[in-house]
Amino acid sequence: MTIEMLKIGSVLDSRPAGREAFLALRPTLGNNADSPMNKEHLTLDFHGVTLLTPSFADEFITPLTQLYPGRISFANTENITVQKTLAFLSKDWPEGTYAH
Amino acid sequence: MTDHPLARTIFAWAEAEQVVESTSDQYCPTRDVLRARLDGAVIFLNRLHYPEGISDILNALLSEIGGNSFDHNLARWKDIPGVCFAKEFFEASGIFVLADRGQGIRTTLQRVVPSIRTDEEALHVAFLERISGRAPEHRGNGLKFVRQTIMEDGIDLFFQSGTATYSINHAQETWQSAKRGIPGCFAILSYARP
Repeated sequence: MTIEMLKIGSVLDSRPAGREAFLALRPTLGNNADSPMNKEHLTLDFHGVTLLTPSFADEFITPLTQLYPGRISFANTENITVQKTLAFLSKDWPEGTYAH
Repeated sequence: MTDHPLARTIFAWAEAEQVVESTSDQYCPTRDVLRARLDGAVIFLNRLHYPEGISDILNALLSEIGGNSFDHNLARWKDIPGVCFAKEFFEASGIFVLADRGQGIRTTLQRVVPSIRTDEEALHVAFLERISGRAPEHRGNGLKFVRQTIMEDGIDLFFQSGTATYSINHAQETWQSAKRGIPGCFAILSYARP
């Protein structure tokens, strides 16, 4: 499954926005998203995103890393704030979630 | 940085015992107003051909610092909600000033770390340790991100809460105490082309 982050917004920068986005996304992931049997892979595609901050990512991406441990990848991470935020927060995520 | 006229104006707003009027183009009563002004600033920075990475990084840093004001002072503002944001930039350099009339770092962090006694100690914790002022929520990364990014990217910072100050100039960090304290937070970011 691929999540096009641009459909959430090009500026992804606050805790309330990140939490709101996660709550909106969560039902689409299905009831078994956090089941050990779930083998689905999740890709977060940052094409078109111009700003990502740790506040947003901590509310949106961190819970996804707990639902999909070791099964998340990131695409189109050229924006410098996307790179820096992912690198910074990855210290708190399951090992190997984001390689930089 | 702290001698710049914009910095003095915004510091006076943050320091005043009674709330003083601020110009409508500086006062941001809500997060959305701040966001709109940051977006506007980035457009101008790009028109001045600031390196794309730098304008994006400044946007992220200002968003994190300003966002902290709204996150940690909800229903706890000293008098009026929001932040003051002022900016001035030219082709070769820019200065950005943010302040709030909130509770400040020490009061916020004392809720989760009661052993914190001074503004100086609180500022150390805020910039160096991953402890959130909104425990049990797992958060508290914003100012650590600000510090790490500034150390890497050639931006200078002055930050004050209470009497404690922290500054980064050319990647050199300085922790000091100021004679004049403020209840909330005050920050200056400056950038000069190499």
